[in-house]
Amino acid sequence: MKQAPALGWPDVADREAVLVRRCATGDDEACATLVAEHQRMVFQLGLHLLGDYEEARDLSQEVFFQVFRTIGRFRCQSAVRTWIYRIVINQARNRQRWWRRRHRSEQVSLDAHLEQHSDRAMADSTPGPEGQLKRKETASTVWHALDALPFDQRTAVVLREIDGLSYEEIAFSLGVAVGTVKSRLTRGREALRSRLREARAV
Amino acid sequence: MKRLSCGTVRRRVSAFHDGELPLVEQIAFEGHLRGCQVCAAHVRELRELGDLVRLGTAEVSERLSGDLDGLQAEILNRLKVEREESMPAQVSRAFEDMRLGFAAVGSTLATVVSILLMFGMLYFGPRTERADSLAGLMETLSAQSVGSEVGMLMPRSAPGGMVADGVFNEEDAVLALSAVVTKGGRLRNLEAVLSEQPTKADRDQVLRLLDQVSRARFEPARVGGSAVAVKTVWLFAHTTVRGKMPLNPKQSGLSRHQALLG
Repeated sequence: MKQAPALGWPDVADREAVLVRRCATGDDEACATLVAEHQRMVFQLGLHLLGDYEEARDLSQEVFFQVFRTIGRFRCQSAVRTWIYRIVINQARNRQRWWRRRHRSEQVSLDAHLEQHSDRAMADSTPGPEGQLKRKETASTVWHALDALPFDQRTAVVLREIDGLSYEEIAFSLGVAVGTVKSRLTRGREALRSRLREARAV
Repeated sequence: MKRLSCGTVRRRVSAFHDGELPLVEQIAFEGHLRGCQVCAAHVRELRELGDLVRLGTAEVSERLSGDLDGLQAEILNRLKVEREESMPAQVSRAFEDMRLGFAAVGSTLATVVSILLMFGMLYFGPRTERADSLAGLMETLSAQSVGSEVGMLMPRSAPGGMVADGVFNEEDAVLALSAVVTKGGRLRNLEAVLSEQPTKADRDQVLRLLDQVSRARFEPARVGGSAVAVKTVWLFAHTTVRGKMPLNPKQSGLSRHQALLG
């Protein structure tokens, strides 16, 4: 079987640059490709930051509209993915300010979603029904604590733990220095850890 | 190997957990963790926290697959609509039918050219008015009225030539007379300029004045040394001024003699 040639970083960057140029000229096919490549990341990050499916869906649409409106000014100084992260975070920050105040009672949080949908995943990693239930409760507690964190700390933790971004990428996405990212991660994790300890002590 | 204290480890445990420490510090960290149960537990807790946060995201990701297809279609459709309604698209649609475009461009050009022509005429056209235009006539008349500017000597009354003593009955009166002063210094076409019908007394007064003025002698107007006839208008004003005498000199504190002398 013939193997496909491996893609190096320069090839990826060139491909992204071509895709960005085509999107900037209004090429529908290129736009569809860009959406297909990044929509999962955008939707998931929106869901993790806002905790609501419908909000995350609306956010995803707004993010891509902003991407296509401003893609002509994008100079490929960072990866497209990192640039889009930054847009998602800014949009989520703007949304969660007012949305949380108005729709808090109607919010379907991510931990509630986990309770409904994560049975199979936990069943694979826990020995019995009791342990499975315990782990499910613990995860719910952690997500509650994560949800209660300030937006910037929560974003830093989500970008690191779920999306696996490096400190530099998180710093670019948040528009802050790497040192700030470190301190936000440390404070966020300490808050989660203390909440986890309290839950276990009860 | 560099040795680390528990305080240093706690401050940097987050970076260690994320693999963001330089290699030397990473090795030192691992060495410390092998000998310190408390710090090792701290690291384990961080790992567990990460696992708990990530728990269920795989399931969420599976559920998203169905939603994402619809999302992509929504985004692309809305993007298409937005592009169709954008200003550049509307402008390009407006120019699709160039018959309208040409008409619009032609009328705009005609308007611009007309405006330019109008301003050109205003700025580059002749500045002097035609002699037979109203402005030209007014300019000519105003130039003639200023006799000194064209070297004209206006007619002057000869010494003792015009006397109007005893003409006016009223204390105050104003009358305008017009006449042509001939080359010989005589008056022709002498008439009074009245704004309303005069009363009988006024008419007598005017006739007396005309009679006296008609007998006056003038030195004729001159242009370049030669006598010319000109039409002239005179304004006669008669004013009576009376002094105020004190009725009772005693009341004013002056003696009769002083009052008579004063």
